[in-house]
Amino acid sequence: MTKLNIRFFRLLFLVAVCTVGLVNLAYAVEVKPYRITMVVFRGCEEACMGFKNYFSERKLPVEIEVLDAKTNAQLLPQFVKQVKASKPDLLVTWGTTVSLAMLGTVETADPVKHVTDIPALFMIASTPVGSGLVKNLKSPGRNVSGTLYILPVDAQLNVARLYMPFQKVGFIFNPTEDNSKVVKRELELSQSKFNFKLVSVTVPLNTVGKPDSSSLPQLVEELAQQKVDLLYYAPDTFLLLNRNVVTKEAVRLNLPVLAVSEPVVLEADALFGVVNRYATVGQLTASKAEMVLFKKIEPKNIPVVAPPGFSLIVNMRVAKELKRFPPIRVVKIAETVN
Amino acid sequence: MNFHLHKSIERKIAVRTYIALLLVGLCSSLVLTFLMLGNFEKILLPQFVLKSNVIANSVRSTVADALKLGIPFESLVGVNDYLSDTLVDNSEIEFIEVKSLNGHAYTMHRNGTNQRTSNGEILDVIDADDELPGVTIGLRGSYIQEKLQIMFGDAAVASLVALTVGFEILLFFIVIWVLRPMGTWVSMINGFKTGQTQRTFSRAVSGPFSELIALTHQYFQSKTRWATQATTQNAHKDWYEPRAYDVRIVLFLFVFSEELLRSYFPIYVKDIALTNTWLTVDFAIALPIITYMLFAGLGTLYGGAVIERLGLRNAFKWSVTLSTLGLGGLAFATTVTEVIALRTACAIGYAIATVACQVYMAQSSQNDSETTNGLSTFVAAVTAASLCGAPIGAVVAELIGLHAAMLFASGMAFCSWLLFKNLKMPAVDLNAQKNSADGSSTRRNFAELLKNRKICIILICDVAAGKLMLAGLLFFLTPMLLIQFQFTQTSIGQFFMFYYLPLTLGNMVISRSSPSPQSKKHIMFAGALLSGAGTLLLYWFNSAVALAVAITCLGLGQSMVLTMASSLMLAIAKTELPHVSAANTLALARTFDRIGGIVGAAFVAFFLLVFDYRITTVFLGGCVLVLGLGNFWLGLRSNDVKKVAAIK
Amino acid sequence: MFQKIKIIAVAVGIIFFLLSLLSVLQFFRFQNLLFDVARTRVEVPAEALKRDIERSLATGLSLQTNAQLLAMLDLVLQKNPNIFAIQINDGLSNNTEPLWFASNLSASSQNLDDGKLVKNHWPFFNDSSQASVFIQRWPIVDPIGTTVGQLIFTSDKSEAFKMAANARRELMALLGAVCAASLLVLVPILLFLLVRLDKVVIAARSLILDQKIEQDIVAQSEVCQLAKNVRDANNSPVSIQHTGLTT
Repeated sequence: MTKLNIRFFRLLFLVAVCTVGLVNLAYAVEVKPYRITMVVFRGCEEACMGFKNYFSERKLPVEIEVLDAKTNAQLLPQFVKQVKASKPDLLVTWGTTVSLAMLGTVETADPVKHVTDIPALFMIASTPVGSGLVKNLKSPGRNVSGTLYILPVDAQLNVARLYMPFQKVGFIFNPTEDNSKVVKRELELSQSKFNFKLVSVTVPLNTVGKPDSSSLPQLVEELAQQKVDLLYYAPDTFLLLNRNVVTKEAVRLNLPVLAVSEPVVLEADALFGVVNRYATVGQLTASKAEMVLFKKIEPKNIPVVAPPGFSLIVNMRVAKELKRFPPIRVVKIAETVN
Repeated sequence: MNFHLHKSIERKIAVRTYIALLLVGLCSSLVLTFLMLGNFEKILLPQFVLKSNVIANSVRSTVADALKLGIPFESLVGVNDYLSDTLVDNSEIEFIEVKSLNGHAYTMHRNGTNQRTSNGEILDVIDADDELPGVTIGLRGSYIQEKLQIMFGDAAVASLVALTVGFEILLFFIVIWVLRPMGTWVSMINGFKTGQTQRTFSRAVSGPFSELIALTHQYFQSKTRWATQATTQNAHKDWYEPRAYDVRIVLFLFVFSEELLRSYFPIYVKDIALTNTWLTVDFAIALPIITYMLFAGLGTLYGGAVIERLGLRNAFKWSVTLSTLGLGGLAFATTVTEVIALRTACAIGYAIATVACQVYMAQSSQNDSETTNGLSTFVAAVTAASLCGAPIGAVVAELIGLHAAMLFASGMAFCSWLLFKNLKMPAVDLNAQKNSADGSSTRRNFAELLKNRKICIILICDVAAGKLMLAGLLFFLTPMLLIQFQFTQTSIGQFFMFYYLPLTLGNMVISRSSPSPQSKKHIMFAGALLSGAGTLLLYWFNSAVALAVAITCLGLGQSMVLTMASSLMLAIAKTELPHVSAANTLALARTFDRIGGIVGAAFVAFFLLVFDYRITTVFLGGCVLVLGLGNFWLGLRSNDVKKVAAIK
Repeated sequence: MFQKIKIIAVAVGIIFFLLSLLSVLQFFRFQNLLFDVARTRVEVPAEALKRDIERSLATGLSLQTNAQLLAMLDLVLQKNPNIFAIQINDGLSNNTEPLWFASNLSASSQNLDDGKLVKNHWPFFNDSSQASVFIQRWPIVDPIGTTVGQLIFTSDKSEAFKMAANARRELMALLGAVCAASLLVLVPILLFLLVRLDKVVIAARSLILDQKIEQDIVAQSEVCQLAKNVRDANNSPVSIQHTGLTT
């Protein structure tokens, strides 16, 4: 064998070894799953399940760790430390309370108290701009993005018109929550477009400056006396927690309630809801997580959007009680419960 | 001596034969169409009833869903709105009634009332039972007639297509049986008179006059002892002088083979692209078309040089070979890359073949009038093939499948060669060939042509402008505007007839005229203006009628421009640039043709970014009108003539 | 006579070709219309089913796990006997096996996705029974706008084929009748015209052979004028142009 041949075969052997090594490395790199930590407030409910199902249906390699606050906000600072220690590839937060506790606002995010160095997505936050989570919906302003779960007021009222005509819309205003302020403003702006009058009643505050839940039945009665056609149920936390009281009183007074979040129509007595299903919101958030992890797009470059479709849910038990049956057009497209 | 007997017996016989064939053809087409549509109506009606039954069931189950939710029938809300929606979605339904067993009913009529008025509707009834309501649907009797009216419009288009093909076949036989024999006979008589006796027949003459020709040949033989002279070296020269109409059927078949693909080629490429491509489907469909246009343009540009180098016969042979292989190969293509390569071959073949035919027609003319006639024959053949190709291609593809249709197209292309190969080639302009061979390269020829102001004006203001209008208005904007006017897809084909018919008729009239060079300029000028002027109507009348008028004006205008432009260019090149061959002149004209088409599409796409369809159409017409005004400078003396005058 | 037959045959052939081409073109347009109507019958239940499936997706039930879908497919099949099979394919994976499949056909005809059917490149040469179904597809879109599946309906085309075949038979009969009528009208006219042309040719031949001839034919006939030129060609050096019977 000549010297040239020996050199050639040595080179060939080296190339073969390198190739095998690279392939193994690539394979090893490829199969390692991404780590996602999800912090939830009240267990892994529909949004959380929707998020997980998205990855399992598509067989995408991720490991999802769920940290459950069990409605106890005191646990959240501990979760911040846990996340900083474990350094997942992505952090997902559920709800405004959890999101603010884990991520802070755009203005006040503190690297000590909040998670600032890990890309993050939020979901089920009513007003991410109003609460300061993001600067604006198109450009979040930091490495945080998310999904909206409340449809725009105009879209809600358009669909509500399909169900019933309305000239007066009642609204229970909670002065302590930003959600309520934002929604009230949007309803006021929509009055001329949809040709209705907004009748608003304010929840009084108790001695410690919190909204007084005992006043709610009286407020509903006040709205009924003013002969409103429809009660718009705002997506603020206080009303959400008191949904059963308010909606039962509304049914008693023959006042239909329009819900804009799932629990009010599924678990309480709202007549109908124009909502984004939590499962859908979870799936949309998961699709953004896929963009962050697999397509390497940073959250600051992902706009905050709502799911393109919506669900119209009709509570048939309430419809029968109120004798406000859904029109056939609505029956065709709505989900019915009870 | 001219024999121009307007009322000669032969003319009368010819006219009566044409009229008889036309009348019988048209009347039988009409009768067949009416009877056919009557039959179709009888067959379609039960199908519509079946469909209405499905709709009735759908309405019934939707109402049933509401009833299952516990809503009493009498308390159903928004039923009329729902029934209205159903009426809107199904235009064949006149009214819908939903009725419960106890007689309570919801009714919605198309006129918006809740009354069920009987107006000759066909009823489809599902009776009510204990659980589900009954539904009655009234089907509009006139709906099927409306559908068939559309088919009647299609029948008119189909008749035109069939008539056009029939006419081309008829012309082919007229050429074989009448024109060639008469031409041979006249040539023979002239030959004897002028002493050119060393000719013969290269093939047998057929037709009703063959006997006369044989008799004349014998007569001259007996008078002049041709028998011995015929054995000399030049005896193989044919009596028959080639004419433009000889190559008409060849050109028709060749262009027809290419046009056959137009209707199904995008679907064919899509099928391949879906299974096998690294491109997006839309791009995969567009790429072969873009490649085709590009290579057709390049092929046209250098077609003249190829023809000069290889000669007409060989150039046509190789171009047919390329097209045949290209079209045949498409039947077996499995990837987009293969399709692109094969279409490139088709494009080059098409470009050279069409230039070759045009050169044949130009070179076979003895005088200016024959040149005009020949060029209008070219336009007529190409127009006829364009008119017929797409509809027949669609049917062929349906009958035998896409792949076999490609082979069919390939066969058509090959048939054109079979008809071409035995034709006698026209005499070449030896001076031009000599000058060309002496060093004027193709590029230099083109440069000289482009430097000639008159030729430049014709190329830009007439040739390119016309194609700009055609591509922009007819192929791009017309479908969009028609959809905007709520016409159906099938109407688009019908609207194209507003272009082809005036073009064909105008071209026929032009071919029979023998205008002087000055008149040609005027005709071309008028045609160029007319091509663009029609669209201005759309500024004031945003309607389908205005669009139809615009397209008709385009067709008429182009009939005046197409032949005149080429004829004038050849005449100018002959006098002012004698060393430039007709092949190169025509190749340059066809290249500007293609450029005009591409610019037209780009122009429209660009303007649509800013304006709507109507304003873009008006703008397009305005631009073509302004370009047409450029013909005004044709009347001025050329630079060369001025220089000569100055020196003197 | 043979010449006359040839010419008449060509002329009549062209008319027959014209009528046949017209019939074929119209028949295919009619067939397309017929198939469209048959297809739209399926669209009504298909779109309702699609709506129901998408509504179920909105509740969080995935296509892969929602067992209720099979019952929904069966219900549609029961109400629409012209539909042979319905299947739901997974739009998220490369798996070509359907997620859910219900049919009225025998088990051997499972999975009628077009990808498994032989693509009929040569319908003229192949048995057309493979193409006796309509296959229509609708995308199933989840609430976030992703296409998660495909709803495929396979419905009966044989009825439409039968109707088209009937229409074709009737059309052939009509075509035959109209062609026969055109033949009966055209042949006498053409014969008459060709007989007149014969007279001209005979007159021209007589001129060439220097025989007796009717002068009024010679005066009105271009061919006879040319024949006269043949006889006079010996004396006159002037050439002639033929300007008759151009295209």
